[in-house]
Amino acid sequence: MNVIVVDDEISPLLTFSSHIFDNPEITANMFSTQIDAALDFARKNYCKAVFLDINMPKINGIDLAKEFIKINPDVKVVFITGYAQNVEEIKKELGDNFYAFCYKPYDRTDLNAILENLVHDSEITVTFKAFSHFDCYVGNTVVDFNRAKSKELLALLVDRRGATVTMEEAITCLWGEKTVDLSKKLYRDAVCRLRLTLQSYRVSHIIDVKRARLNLNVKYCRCDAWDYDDGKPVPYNGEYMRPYEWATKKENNLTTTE
Amino acid sequence: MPTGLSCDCIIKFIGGKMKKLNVTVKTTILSVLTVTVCALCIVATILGLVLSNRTMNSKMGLPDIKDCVLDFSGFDADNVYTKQHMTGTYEFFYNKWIVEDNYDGEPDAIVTVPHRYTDTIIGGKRLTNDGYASYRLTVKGLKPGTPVYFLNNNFIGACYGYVNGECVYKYGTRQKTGESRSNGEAEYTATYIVKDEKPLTVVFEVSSNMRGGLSSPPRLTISTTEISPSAPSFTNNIGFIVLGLVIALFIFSFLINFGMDRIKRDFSFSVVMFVMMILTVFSIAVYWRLLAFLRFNTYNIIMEVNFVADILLVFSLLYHFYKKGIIENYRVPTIVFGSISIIAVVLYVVLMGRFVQAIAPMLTVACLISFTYPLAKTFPPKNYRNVLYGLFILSSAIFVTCTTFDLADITIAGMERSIAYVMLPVMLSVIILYRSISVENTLTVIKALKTEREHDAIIADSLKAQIKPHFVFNSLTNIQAAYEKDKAVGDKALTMFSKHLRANVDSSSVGVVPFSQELDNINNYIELENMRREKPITVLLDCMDDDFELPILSLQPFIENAFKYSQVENIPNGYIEIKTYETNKSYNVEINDNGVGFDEKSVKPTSVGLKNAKERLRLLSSATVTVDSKVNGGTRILISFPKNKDKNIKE
Repeated sequence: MNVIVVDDEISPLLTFSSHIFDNPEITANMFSTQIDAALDFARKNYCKAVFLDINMPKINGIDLAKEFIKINPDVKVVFITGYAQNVEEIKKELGDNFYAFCYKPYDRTDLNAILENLVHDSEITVTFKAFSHFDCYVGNTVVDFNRAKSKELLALLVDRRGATVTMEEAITCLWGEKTVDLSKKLYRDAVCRLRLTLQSYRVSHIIDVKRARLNLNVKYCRCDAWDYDDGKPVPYNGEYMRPYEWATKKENNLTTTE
Repeated sequence: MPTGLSCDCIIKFIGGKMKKLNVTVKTTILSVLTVTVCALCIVATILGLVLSNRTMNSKMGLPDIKDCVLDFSGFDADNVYTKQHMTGTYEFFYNKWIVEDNYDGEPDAIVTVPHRYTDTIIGGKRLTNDGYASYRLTVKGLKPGTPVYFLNNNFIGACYGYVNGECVYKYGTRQKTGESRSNGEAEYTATYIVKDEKPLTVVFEVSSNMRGGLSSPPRLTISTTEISPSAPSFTNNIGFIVLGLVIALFIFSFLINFGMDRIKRDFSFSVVMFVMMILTVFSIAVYWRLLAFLRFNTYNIIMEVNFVADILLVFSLLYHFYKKGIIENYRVPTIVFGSISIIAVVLYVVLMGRFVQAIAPMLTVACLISFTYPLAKTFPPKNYRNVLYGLFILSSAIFVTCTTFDLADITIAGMERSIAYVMLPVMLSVIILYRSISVENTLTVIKALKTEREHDAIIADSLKAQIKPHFVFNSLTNIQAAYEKDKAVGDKALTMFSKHLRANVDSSSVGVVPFSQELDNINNYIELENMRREKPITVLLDCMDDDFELPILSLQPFIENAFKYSQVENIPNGYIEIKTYETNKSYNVEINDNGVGFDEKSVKPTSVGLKNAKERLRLLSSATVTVDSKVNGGTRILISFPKNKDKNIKE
């Protein structure tokens, strides 16, 4: 996917590119002071999104956005800025073309979430890796969970493959040694934080949260362990969802392949 | 005294029983009682007026007409000014003027005056309302030499009166077909002196425009003193005087509150006032006098205008009470009043006859009376205002009742004057109410402005209170240290700090934000705090209910306090908990900890920051803050955001 990035200062441009290293799906074309060159590039190459600074000496970011919209009426505009005073007005002015604000200094998670969503048109696949250690990928980006227990809870959901996990079950697996009251609070905290993490990656729709129950929406997700269970040729090295204790039972039941 | 004691006991007993009842039941009972009392007032008024008229003659010691004969034998008429209302049976001749045309035959029917032709059946057929007629009566028992004088009251038709063939009065010009009017004053009057003891034949020849017949009974005046031919002008023209006063008062009060702005603001009551003005101007006491004076033929349209204005009064009052909050649910009354009005209109249009024409507006009077129910229900605290409303409703109900009866030609003596007099409490209550409502509306505007200024001051203060240089430089130092360890960790710390800063700058311009956004800010702050702590504090979240808004950074001061004072980092399994949940009436946020707590009684006066926070919450979200803490028993802070903001705005 082609994107254009326009910022009158060089260092934010460098930081931006540092966050998209190793991502084969994004090609970022950077422009600093040569606005006309940016517009020219847009005319000659299809660009899905433009990342624009708002406060620039030569031209105001919003007016520049309108120029890009004239060239490609479907273009998505992401404003990169430290602080914006009139967020709502800007959203209204650009209407459907407005996509997001991405605040500087850049938050890696935020930026990658925006890029992944742009690439996949919000039909992002969330991929779980269960063999060996558990990990979650949104598009190409690894999800950074703030809390270990949230990650473990998600792993449990993945293990159950869409079946409902009750609060009691979750507590037994994850907080077995804690008192009843405390474990309930810890459960709710883990659920809350899991939801917040997924929201920051814009994929909160993959879990369904109900009162004292949780389940995964499998249609949005893929997992190597599920493929393995379905008989697909997936290499298995004998380690399943390490180091979670509740996963050892399944680990013992899976047969290793070459 | 035994009666006194037993009364006392009864009152105490009832009082005791009443206290146990639910307040709602009490108010309902009182309201129903009030409505019943008002309804009974109206009924009593009607009955009183009707009955007093019936027995008027016997009250005054005057004989009644019996079988077309009015017998004064045994009645002492000397030196007494006597006015006899000649209601009773008359010999009736349809389409005949018996004196004029020298008709000698038998009467076509015996009728009771006042009556309508259509109440009369001749030859098996009901008479139509058109046509002309003669009424004959025999008067006897008057001593020779008694001066007798006839008058028709409320009379703008044309009619001649004869005694023994001699003309004694003329109103207008009689016609056998078509319209003929008088201006309400007799054009010719003559006093008849009784010549001998023979019975007198009194005949009234009525013109064709007296639609349906004599609607008011003629009056027989006996006076041994000199009679002045016309009624006292004061009573006749009192309608004009009242009208003049009314218009003057209306203009005066509108002038005091001049300008379209005020009228727009007090709009609902202005509508009520306007409808009252229509009712006054088109009232029987005023309008028909004016019309008669101007010799217009539109007498009978007053009934229709009055009826429509009655219905308008009901709905404008409903609208006004709804706007003032006296009636909360407007649907039920609208449907009920609407149905009653439709029934009334249908009755009026489809059926003929005086009583039906009277019943239709009386239905709207019933609607008017029912307004006393919501008034009684909201009696405390709006005593003064509600009493005025009640006075207005009751007096206008009586006004409408009297007008209706008069317009329907249900003749009641002294009605015109009663209408004029009852207009006074109506007008007074309207004027005072208008002033009072106008003043209240002005006060509301002033209060709103004051709140706005308070609001702005709080916003300005919050900016000063939020950015703490100490915290800023601490965070920057931690970020520097984080970068030493690992770039990724440093980046994370940096973005968290910039988010925090952004939220702070926003707090002076942005008002309320969705809770999910605020949770982000809270988490941010917690991470930043924990970065500089040896032992990070565990914060547990339970925030699945997040569908509400709150002022940006409004929870931070409370969380700061929890971090500063709870000492949960030193307690095994110590935590600070942030919980949100929805109730019927509000969204609640709880900030609890199982830390050391504090003694609420000995607490130092709350810091400016906390005070500001509470004020902000109150002004922007009408939220309330409750703090509960015990030494070594943790602290619980409950912030309640009501779903219906308006209830909490008054302080």
